[in-house]
Amino acid sequence: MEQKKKVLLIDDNEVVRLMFSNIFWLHGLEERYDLVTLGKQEEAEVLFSNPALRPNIIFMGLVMPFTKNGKVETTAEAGFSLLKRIKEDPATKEIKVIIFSNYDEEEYRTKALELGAEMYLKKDEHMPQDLIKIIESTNNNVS
Amino acid sequence: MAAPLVKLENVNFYYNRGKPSEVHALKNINLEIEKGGYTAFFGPSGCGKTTLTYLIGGIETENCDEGNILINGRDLRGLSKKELAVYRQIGVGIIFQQFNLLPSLTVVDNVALPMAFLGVNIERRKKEAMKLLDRFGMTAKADRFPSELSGGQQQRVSIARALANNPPLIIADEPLGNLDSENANKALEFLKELNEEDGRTIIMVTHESWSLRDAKTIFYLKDGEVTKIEEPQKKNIANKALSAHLYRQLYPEASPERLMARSLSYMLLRGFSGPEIKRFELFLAKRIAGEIDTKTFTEFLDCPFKEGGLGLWKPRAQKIAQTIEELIMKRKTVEEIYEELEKDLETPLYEEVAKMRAWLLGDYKGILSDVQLVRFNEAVEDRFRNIISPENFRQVLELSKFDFGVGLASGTARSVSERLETILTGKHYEVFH
Repeated sequence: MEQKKKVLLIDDNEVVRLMFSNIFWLHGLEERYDLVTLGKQEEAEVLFSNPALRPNIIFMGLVMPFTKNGKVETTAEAGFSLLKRIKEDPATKEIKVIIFSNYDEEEYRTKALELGAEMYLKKDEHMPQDLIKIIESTNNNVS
Repeated sequence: MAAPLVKLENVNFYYNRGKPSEVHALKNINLEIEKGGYTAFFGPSGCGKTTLTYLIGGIETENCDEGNILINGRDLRGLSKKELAVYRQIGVGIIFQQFNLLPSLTVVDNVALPMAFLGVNIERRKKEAMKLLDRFGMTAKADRFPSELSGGQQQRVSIARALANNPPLIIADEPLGNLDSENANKALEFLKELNEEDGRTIIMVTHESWSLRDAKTIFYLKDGEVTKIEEPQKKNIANKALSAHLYRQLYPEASPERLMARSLSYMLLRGFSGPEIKRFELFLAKRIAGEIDTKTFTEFLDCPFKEGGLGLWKPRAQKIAQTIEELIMKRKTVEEIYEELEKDLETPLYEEVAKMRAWLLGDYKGILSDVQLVRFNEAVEDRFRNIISPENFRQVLELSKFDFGVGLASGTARSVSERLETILTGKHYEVFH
């Protein structure tokens, strides 16, 4: 049997996390994917460092709380620094990263794509059925 | 093999458990519904079929006494309130007998509303809603209000709305009850199409055997039990003689008058939740059989739901009691009562209000008492019907409990009313000072 692909969602909004887990559950995606949802990006570190847990696809927001120089800030730097970290590390650079953000600034979009994101999705433009298609098509490109 | 989409294990459901008026509404139900199936729950009013479907729809799930309600292998009874709220938004689409469209919203906004709960923006919502309306031939009516539409048209809008968030499971609760035969046939065609072309799983609740014609599995229910499971080979059920036969099989002891009187409860309580209708049927049957008198029956209608009654608004309780008295005294026939009820389209928007409340209070940290919840619901429903303005709505939320308001803090009342208007209209709304 083919191994299940791992999908990780990092989003500080609980409703978005619940929506993702419901989509995977109700549309039968759980048969093919293991979904993990996290509210804080710091919690993702352990998944990156362990090859057995490492995700194949990540959906993540940009503007999230993160700790910088010992202080918690909520800026887009959260998402960008994580994206950079994933793409610079040879162990994680193959992970497909999809930005799933409330923000639509051209500057963010350009920067995310430059840093190696697969796609930049604006949250409020996507219905559950769109997300299913995106997950399936991204999965087809996972090596 | 994949798990069935729906699996019920040893489900038992009681009303008023432990009280003298205890009713064992669902008795040890075990059933499976495959993904992509077209299933019917068939039985007379009060057999438990609506209660059963509402459990599957995540509506009464938290009150289920025993058993497991598994959807794709996960038990709904283990979900938190928030998880259940999301399940109800994207897991299941319900088509009601009374359509339950919000009268203050246009057709397109009604269809788009469930998408708003997921945070989808207004442009995308409208685009998606128009696609759905187009599928059911309702594009030309997009900017009309529900009251301007015929019953058949409203039913098509309500089917489109049930599909809004692309749920894998569609529940149709007596979907043909208020349609003429031509529109009922059309509605059945749509359900069949959703099953065969979209691959959606359909559960239809019905007491009319002719509407079973497309069902692949039929669960016969009587007195809260599944009495028979049938997988019809030939689609030739749709004739009246057979209907009478099926009814006799389900209710050999019931007189025709009693069956008819029972079906009245659906008309009298249209739009109410399954448990409310079930409870009403029970007391109605007792009243018709002469086991309780008018006074006890009226008291039951008036008494709060939590205390074993129905909690109806007093004038409504009196009107229903009077209607039943007229039937019992033979001053009116069932047909005459049906005709009167047809003209009265006021239906409580129970499920719509519950969904909206869950969404509006999603982040609310405080705890509301039962009285506050009832007032909150009333305010939302009155706003849905345009009986009160956005400003009135905010005032009701903020007024103290002693002034018949909800008693929320001023800031909360303000943000809740802004959220409500914004989701209803898709436009940013700000309370003026």
